[in-house]
Amino acid sequence: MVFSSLIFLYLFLPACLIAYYFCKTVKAKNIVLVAFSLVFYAWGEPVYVLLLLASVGVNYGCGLLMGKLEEQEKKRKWVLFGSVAINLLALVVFKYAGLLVSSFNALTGASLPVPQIALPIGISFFTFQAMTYVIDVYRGQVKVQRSALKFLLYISMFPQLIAGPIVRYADIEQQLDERASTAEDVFRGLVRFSIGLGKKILLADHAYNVCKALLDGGMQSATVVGTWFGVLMFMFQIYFDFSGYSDMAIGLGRIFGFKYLENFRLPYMSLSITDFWRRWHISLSSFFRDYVYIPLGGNRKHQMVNLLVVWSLTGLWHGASWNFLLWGLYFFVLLVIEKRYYGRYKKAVPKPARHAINLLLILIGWTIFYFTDFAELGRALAAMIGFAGGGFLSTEVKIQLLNNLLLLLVCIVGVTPLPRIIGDIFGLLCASSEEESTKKKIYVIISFVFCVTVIALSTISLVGSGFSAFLYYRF
Amino acid sequence: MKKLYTVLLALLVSAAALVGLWSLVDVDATESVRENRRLAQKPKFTLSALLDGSYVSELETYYSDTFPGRETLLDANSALNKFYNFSGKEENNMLVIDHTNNMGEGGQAMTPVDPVVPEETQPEETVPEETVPEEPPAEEIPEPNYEDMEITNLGAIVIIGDRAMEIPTATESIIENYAGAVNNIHNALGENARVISLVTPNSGQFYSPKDMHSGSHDQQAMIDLCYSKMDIDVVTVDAYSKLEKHKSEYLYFRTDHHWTQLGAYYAYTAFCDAVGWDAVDLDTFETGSYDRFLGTMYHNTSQYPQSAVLKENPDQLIYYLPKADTTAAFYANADIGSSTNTTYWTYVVNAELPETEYNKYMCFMSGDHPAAMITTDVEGPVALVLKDSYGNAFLPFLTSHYSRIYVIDPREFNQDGKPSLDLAAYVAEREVDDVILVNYAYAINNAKYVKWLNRLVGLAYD
Repeated sequence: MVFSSLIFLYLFLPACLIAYYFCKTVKAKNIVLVAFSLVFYAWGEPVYVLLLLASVGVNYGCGLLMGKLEEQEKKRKWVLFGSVAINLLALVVFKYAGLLVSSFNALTGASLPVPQIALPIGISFFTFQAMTYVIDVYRGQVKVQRSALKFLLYISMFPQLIAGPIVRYADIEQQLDERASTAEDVFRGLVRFSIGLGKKILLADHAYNVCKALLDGGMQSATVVGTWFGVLMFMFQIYFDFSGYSDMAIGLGRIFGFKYLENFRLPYMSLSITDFWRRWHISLSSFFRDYVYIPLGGNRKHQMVNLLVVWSLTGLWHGASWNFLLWGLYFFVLLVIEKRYYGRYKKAVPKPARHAINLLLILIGWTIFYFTDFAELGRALAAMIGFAGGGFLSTEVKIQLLNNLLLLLVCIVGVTPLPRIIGDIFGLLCASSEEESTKKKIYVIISFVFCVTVIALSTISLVGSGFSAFLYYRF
Repeated sequence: MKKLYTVLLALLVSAAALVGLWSLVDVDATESVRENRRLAQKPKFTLSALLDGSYVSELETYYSDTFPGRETLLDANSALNKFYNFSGKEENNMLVIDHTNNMGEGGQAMTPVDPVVPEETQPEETVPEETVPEEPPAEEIPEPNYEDMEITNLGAIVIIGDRAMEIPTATESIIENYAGAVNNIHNALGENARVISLVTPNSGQFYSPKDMHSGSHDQQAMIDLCYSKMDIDVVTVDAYSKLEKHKSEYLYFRTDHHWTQLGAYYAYTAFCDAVGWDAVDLDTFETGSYDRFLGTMYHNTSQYPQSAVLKENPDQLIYYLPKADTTAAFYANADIGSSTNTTYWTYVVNAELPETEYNKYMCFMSGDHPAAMITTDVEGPVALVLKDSYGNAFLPFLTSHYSRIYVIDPREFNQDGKPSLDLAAYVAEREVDDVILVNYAYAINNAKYVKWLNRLVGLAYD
């Protein structure tokens, strides 16, 4: 199931909230969450829910085993090795098998049958979450979780199950045992959820329609302006989609008393690529930092090799296609250059220019990310520097630009700190030291109206996206 | 404060839960007039459908199709689309929407509530009226299948001012395959029948800004390419030049993707030129009209604010009645004359469409049906027409020349669950003299259409 669906918003979520708040004990609440989470996962993946359970079983068992082998360092290491290997193997088989076999065939001329394995939703997220647990147990940073229910809850929690953030076990270890969500937490969680919902449905989905129309029809006849505009809309789409999903996860987590870390911090306001990766999908980049880069030796020994490994993996993590590897390597190169020259660059180039250059580099990155077909990617990049089959600008693109002008403006404002600043100023204006002040109440009521408005608009847009006179469109 | 939070939260959650409950117990709508389609029905639960995921995805579609207050929410969405599809002031009314892969899978047909029986004597192949089943054949039109998710045709719909147009994008390989399919038909028929191909441009070619009908959107180039790949024996009809010459006239609807019957008439004169016949003079036809016609282009864009101008400026449909005495009927399959094949009487041109039929273009042959037959009192050859819906407005003019015209919809045969039809044997059996293909530029760029044509002569497309 996805958050941006009518069934989730009007059946699943209300039922889950009501069931959850009628439970008094933490255990009962945990059971409700697990049950709803499994339904949530099985909704789209009725078979792969077994894979999810198997992953939970293996990692839970390895945790217990490491707990038993307390003093036997060598054996513990083998258990860790085994569990990490199983996690990675599952990822390779279910995510990369098709790519590996077809690439092998292409390279050697062999004709091995290419396995047709549908990607289990969220596998990249839940295997990484499970790994943070076994690795941290090995390192002694977290205690072994003896309750299978709690461990299952940690992995399967529907708010973060299928699109992150990658929640580390260490961060919510205690909350599995005891947590409190006050009425204010629930309220703010819902507001946060609705912000995410709006970003996803009201901005990302519409931006994607534009980008699809401009980039999916074959790049031979693309125009210069159309390609730039299409990629720009993709840059907005991926941000609002992904950060919107994180907002929804963080908001839902808060409703249930879990405190997830922030996953995005205005990444398009960054002035360097290094800075961008500190603000973009933070839970992923910090995972690679703490579980790959630093264990490999970090910046103390063979840093270049470590960086190369991390960025190759980061690239491939995003999808089973070689353009994602290229995308990772692109950032590897940029980061290496930055490490060497950023000091001088910073002195020489004024801030607005650095911002613009950084955005341009990110945008080129998203172009590489978008096109899984290298020939199309080549044509797109050529079009962007002026070699476009369809010329500079066409009437069609001109009308597209006009039609999407307002969306574009809102997207631009949406990636700046402006919405947050307005919210903060409003919060300050309504701040009061009294517990029951009218100002505070106004603040809450206006937030509520905002939340309801976004949910209503999203519902309208969701129903509208089902409008399909085309379905029976006939010659 | 806690009280306020609790009240607001209880309000929101119970409101959502009530909508949810309502959605489960309300009576579901089954049809959407606005979208001109049947809404999704509750899928049947089977274990295999659950396991392969199709049950849940159908359930999601059904849920969204029958969501409470859907009509109101769609109205609200049209208002919301003023934001997402902005075009400034009204005189600047412009819209582009992606139309790739949206080529229909089937024809659009009128649902014959009461089969129409003309006064004239019925031809010998007729089946008694009482065999007409209660189920109208429109029910047999299948759901579109989604087996081919790759791009089958490229294009866009644009609205500029008060005119909506389809803008096709050429895919040369598909156009060449279309010509190949015509050649395949020609080869399969051998000496039995002459093959005549008529490919017509649509309104985009004449009324859109230049770059929407040049380069990869140039329909003249598409038609030239297509004809150049056809066998020398295939008669090609240059409808383009005639239409181009008369483009200042009312040749195409502004709110529908078809040509007017006047447009079809000019194509007919080109047809006569190609086969060496004298075209009947336009002035000699008896005419009539339907006013306030809002066609498919309007309905397809009705969620966008730019369609308001179309609604304020509907089309007028002027029809030309056949000069010959005609009887026409359509059938659920091509086995015309068989006692198992139900006959639905209709008109070549229906001057009395019911008010409720929004799609006035249905006045021609009641739309697209798997098979149809027109019998005239003219002494002349027999024709078989393979067509998309552009052919419907064109057929009435052929009645001045042919004694009998079979009309076959290529998509309705030789596929899963569809009757089979061997075109070559059919043509030989029924002593067809001319096989005429009438298609517009959008169809010759559609890989699926090519596939359907090839299947008529037993060839797979791939």
